[in-house]
Amino acid sequence: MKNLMVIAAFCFSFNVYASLKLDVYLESPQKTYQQIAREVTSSTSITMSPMPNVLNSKSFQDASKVVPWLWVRSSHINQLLSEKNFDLAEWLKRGGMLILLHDGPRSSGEQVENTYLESLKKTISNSSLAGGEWRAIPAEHSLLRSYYLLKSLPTCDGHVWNEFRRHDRPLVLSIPYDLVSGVADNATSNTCLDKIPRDIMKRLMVNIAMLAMTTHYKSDQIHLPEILKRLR
Amino acid sequence: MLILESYWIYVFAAVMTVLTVLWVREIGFFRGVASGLLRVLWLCPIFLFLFPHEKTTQQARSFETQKVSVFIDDSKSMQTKNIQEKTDRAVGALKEECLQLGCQVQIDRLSEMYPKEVTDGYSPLKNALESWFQRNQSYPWVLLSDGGEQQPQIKYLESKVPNFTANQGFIASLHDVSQMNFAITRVDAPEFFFDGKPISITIYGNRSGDDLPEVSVQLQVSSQLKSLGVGDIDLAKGQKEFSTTIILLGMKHQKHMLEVSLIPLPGESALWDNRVFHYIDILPNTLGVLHLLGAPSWDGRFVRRFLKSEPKFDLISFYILRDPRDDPGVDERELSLIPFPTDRLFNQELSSFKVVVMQNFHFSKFLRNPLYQRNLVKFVKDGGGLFFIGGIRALSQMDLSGSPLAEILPFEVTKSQNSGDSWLFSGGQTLSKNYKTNLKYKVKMANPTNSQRKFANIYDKWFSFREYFENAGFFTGMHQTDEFRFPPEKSTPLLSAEKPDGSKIPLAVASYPGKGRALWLFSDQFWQYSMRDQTKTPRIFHSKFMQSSMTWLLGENFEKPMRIKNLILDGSLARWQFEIEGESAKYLDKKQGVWKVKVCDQEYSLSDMNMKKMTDTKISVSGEIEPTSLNRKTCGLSVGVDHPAFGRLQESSVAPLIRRIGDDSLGSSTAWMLDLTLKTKAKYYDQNEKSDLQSSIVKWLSNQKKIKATPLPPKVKIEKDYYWQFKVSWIWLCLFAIPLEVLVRRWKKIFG
Repeated sequence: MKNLMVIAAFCFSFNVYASLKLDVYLESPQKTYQQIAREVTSSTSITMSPMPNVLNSKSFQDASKVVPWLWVRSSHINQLLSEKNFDLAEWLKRGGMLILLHDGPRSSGEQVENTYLESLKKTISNSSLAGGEWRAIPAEHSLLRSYYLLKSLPTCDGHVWNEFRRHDRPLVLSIPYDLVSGVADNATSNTCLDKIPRDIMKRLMVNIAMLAMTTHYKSDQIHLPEILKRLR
Repeated sequence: MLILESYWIYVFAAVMTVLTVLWVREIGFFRGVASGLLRVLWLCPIFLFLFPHEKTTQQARSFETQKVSVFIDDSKSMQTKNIQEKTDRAVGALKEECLQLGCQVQIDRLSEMYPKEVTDGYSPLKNALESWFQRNQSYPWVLLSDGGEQQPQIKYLESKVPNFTANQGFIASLHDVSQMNFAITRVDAPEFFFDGKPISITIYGNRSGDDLPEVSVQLQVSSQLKSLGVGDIDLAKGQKEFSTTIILLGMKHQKHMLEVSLIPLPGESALWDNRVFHYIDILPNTLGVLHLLGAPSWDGRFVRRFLKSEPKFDLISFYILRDPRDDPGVDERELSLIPFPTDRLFNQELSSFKVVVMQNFHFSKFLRNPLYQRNLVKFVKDGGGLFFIGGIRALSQMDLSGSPLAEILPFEVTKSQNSGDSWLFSGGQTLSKNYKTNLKYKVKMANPTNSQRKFANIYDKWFSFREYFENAGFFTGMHQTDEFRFPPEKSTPLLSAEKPDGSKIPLAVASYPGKGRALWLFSDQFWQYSMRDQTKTPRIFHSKFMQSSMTWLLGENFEKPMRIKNLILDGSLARWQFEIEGESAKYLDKKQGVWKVKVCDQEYSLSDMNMKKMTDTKISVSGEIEPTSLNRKTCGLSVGVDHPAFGRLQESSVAPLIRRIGDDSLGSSTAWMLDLTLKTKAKYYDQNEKSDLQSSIVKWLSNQKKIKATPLPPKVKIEKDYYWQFKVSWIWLCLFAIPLEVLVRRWKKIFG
């Protein structure tokens, strides 16, 4: 009943407002995110739009100046890096955050470094982003406590979440599966996504959104004692 | 070339023939002929005056003969055979090349400019170069030196370097490569920090020499003879560069002269570069900033990022991550959320903060207790800063009417605001009807009156950024501020939002309730300045905007009116010198105001000091150090002023007394040469380079556009040397012919 009221209010509201949109590079136009938008909006103070902001090559040049985060699938990463007048390093330095989703097939034991991350790492290492580091996301990372307290991040065939970090800020988040497709209304199925409960995917999306918008405020001293108490 | 005019030979031959015939008749054939020949022999040196030797030289010519100035450091340390040969060959190569290019080489030496100092074993390179550069600033120039300046701790002042073009100069660093030496090259440490916080200092150094074995070195940081930190470095074989980071703890709130020293190793050629000084000001506690956000947002992320990056702010952020009716669907223990500590923040701790940033915040919802709102009002009126940043949740109808906060609002609410707020679809979020998500606008500077500007000089600071503000294109989303009335005596308009139809509404205002200051920004879109910033330094404008806002809210001046810089205490010349920079420098004159300058505990009156105006806001002040202070290691400077224009100001500094070092102890300094190279934008040559100095210098000269004049055929100059015969050793043998002739003539009389 509550959900019906919520949907009705959404449909009939004269002042529809969303504080968060999924900015996705080369997203399929059929994909919608009504369910996850509803879940995020009803769980948090964020209002998420059910329609993604799809960026293609035509709209990219102008849009890239304002989108603060970008979700990109691994199969599109090379195309993104070759976009005209788009300098990934400069965009990241201005404040952008890249979230990379692995969407291709992967054989068990395949080194992540030999796959889609390779060209990205090479681009970043040749750029002005000196002083940054790539690392696997540790258990005490803000991502695991930005809203929901997570004990770990679900892996895929042994591949873990990675980040590129600079000046104590995550600039690139690399997820070993296509989390966004997993939370879409016509959710994709694969061996990794099938193993992750829907609720966990929702929590991951919420935490990623919170991390992107609030950074690591949870590590401020005043929050730490309470968090540590709950984690014990 | 010896020119033998044939007619003179005929005359001489004829005369000698006649004389010989006469002598033959007088004294006999053999004696007559012998006398004639001997006479010819001893007359030769005289006769040859009539046949001068011609010396031909070629002089380079062009339509405009250019000069190439060469400065040779011929101090004691440059007197090794190896270095002298290199210098001579380099100069020779220059001259030869100049012959082809049509230029002239002019050589100046350090010993000619400072004969006494060089004789005494010192190298006043810096002083000599200061005047030499001024004289030769229009010409290509060459410096041949080992960098052994007698006071190497005093860097060559950039202000004393003429405006050379790139590669106009050529600096050859000549030094004895076999000398083993360790040097500290750079210290990375902040110029100011905060009481009680650990300070990280990174020290860089290098070593030189033929043999670079494995060795351990120790670095120490001390202040006033007290050791603050020590670092050990193990150098591998062949390793030249090294660095280490030392953490300093427990530094008191005051100015410190840190001495960073590298413990010398046996056999080091120079010890002066084992020690550097760094001046650090430890400030009192950091400034507390409370950052409250009504919801996570992109704007909030960029504001927090700026505040967190500033070391002087102790930042506490609270985000409302969940509205009262939101249901996360899990137990509270699975959430990282903590209750918003309203009572603690707004009843107890508020006075600990200097600025409260309220971003997209619903006052009435989260500060329900009127006491909290009154405390916030009192906080601002008692001198605190409030930075209000709008958003969809801010300025709800409840906030605007009936709340104690209305007391500090810079505007009055009109009756049209009474229609209530709108609701969005879930969570029961109360959103402000005043905020228009579709309102499109461009940012423009407002037009406050002069009196309004006086109350809020942040307008002048933002006006200097107006290009950035106004050229960012359109934004979408802000409060409908034309529904408010802004009394001119309560606020200063800073920015306007210009709609597509050309009409303008207030976008940002400053207000000054009581003793406090408040900034009201009716938009949550300014984060886009960061993302749209296409300048070389990302986010620079957003940082400037935030920095200036916080500075004004904290009641600080944007720039101190008086800053002390470049304090130098020259122990050898017994002179001190520093620069005053800032607005107060405009008023530094001997007519008005009371100036108190104290150096090495000695007070100086204005008549004891020399003042030189460098720019409108920069003055160089110098004076003599009292002889009794010359044996000190460091000295303090304090400058106090009381002037009608800006009131009372006080600044201080500390510096070491720099004494000159003789060439024997100094050795060479590539670091000094490199520093000079950077400042003069010259071409640098180091002895360790593969190419030899001659070819490098010739290549540099051939690239000099200034001397690429059209060369004319060289001018042939012929000089006549009438005394060439006396430079030839055998000519003196001819004089023996005089006594021989006498002997021959008087043979019979002498020998019967």
